[in-house]
Amino acid sequence: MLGNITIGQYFPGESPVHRLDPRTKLIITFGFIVLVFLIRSVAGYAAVFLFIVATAALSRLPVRYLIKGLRPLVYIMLFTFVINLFMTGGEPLVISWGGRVVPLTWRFLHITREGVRMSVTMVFRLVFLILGTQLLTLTTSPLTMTDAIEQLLGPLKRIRFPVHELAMMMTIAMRFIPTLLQETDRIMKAQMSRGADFESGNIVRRARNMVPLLVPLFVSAFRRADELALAMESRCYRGGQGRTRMKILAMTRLDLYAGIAALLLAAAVIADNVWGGMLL
Amino acid sequence: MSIVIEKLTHIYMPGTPFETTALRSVSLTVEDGSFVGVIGHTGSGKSTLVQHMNGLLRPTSGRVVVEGIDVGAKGADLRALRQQVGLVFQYPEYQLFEETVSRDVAFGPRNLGLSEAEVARRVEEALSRVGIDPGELGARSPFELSGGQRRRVALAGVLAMEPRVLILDEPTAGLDPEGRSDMLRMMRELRAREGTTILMISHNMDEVAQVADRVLVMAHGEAILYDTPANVFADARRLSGLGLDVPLMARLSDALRRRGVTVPRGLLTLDAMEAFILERTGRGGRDAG
Repeated sequence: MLGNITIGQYFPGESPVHRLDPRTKLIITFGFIVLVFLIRSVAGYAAVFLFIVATAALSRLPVRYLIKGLRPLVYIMLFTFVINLFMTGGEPLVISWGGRVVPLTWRFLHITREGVRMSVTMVFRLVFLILGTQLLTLTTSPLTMTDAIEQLLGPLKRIRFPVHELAMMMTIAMRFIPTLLQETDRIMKAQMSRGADFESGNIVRRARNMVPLLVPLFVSAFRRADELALAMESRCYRGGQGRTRMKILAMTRLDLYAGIAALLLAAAVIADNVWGGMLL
Repeated sequence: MSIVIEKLTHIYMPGTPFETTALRSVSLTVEDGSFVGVIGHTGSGKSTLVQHMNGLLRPTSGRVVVEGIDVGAKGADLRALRQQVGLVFQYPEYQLFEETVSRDVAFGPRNLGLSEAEVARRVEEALSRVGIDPGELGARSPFELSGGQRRRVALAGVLAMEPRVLILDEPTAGLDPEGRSDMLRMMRELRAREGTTILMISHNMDEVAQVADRVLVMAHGEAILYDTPANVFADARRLSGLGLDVPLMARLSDALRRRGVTVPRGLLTLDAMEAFILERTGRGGRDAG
């Protein structure tokens, strides 16, 4: 029932992209997001698209997994497309229709050259953003991701920002998502065995029917939290002070290559912006 | 009235990298009124198997027919099925949620749409059956009770559905010795008085030997053995190859045999062994068998 939910949509694998240091992947992804908004020419889009295709091919993820991630956002893309198409100012496009020249405008709606360009580029940007971030989440396990975030935020410790505690909380929360899902599944099944119905009725009724599920779930979440706190304390956990790690993130040659590739892409896009047209 | 399973296969999350085959072409028949002990290593498919019996899981392929209801069929009456087949999960005490013990036990019967009088009768009966005094503890919050008492209340919550088949997933796990023997006694009484078919998943071979008249051995999603306890526990080497134990008395029988004592097959419980030894040493009465 709930067994079909995958957490953080991580898709385990052994590809070069999976093996990259999560810090490298995070930084590249952030850079990539900025870059996508800097592109101004078709050549730029082509370069970014090539980069995505190359990364996807290296990651050996099934293509349908990547496509599947786009599906929930189809409506947002459609909405963006339509709004930009009709609402961008400029000179309306004209078409010849039955020998007459008709401007494409109706009341406040008008289709302009700028509008067409804008709506198409916005959709491309969205698709690239989704694909790019998806490549990060699909190839990085949530736990290594938290590790990377903790290390990248490390400098904030200087201003007494509780980086370690935050990361620990994220780690614990993520660690317990599958456990709590399993628990939910079990309690749900147990109550269904006693004739509970979680699927029919109106909203009020359904909400009320959730009580037999939520009460035991909350009780057990608190019980687990209590037990975990005890277990951590009895092993002398006192926060991040002087704490060493078992698995130390290490950059490899692979990260160097990835970094160079990303920098080349950024350089190409920026160069194209500055000396636009010269590259095409 | 029985459970018939034919070539049941169950695959979790098919088509994803997390795909696992939990059951492979399992076939078996549970006769009405029998007491089946289900044993097997963790991950052998025991829990998956029993969840098919009240329609919580549907077969990926194969058929499960319980009390005449085909579980896999579209539009199968799952509500009727779940009334017939009660399932007590592991650590059922963690599923309690109501404000009082009585109301928690009443949850099942209420869902069946029974009259208040009938619900009250069932609550009272189920609670006394598990050894909880409805007058004394019925109005208390289940969260105030001890772990053992909570488990009894949870069991009562299923018994109040008055199922024809009762399935229990490790009902004695985490109980003290007295709680364990109480739990086994309750199951035996239930079967004797109501003729309820019982399936019990357990890791404790001594318990299985004590109460079951059939033993189902699961391994790697397959039903390896399904026979009387005497026959199943006769092959200690095969069981240990599957990561399973044999009852203490079966080991004692083996040890005695190695020393040249002729021990009959199927001496699996302490009582049977005691009677045998008394008879052999000439101190037992004629009544010992």
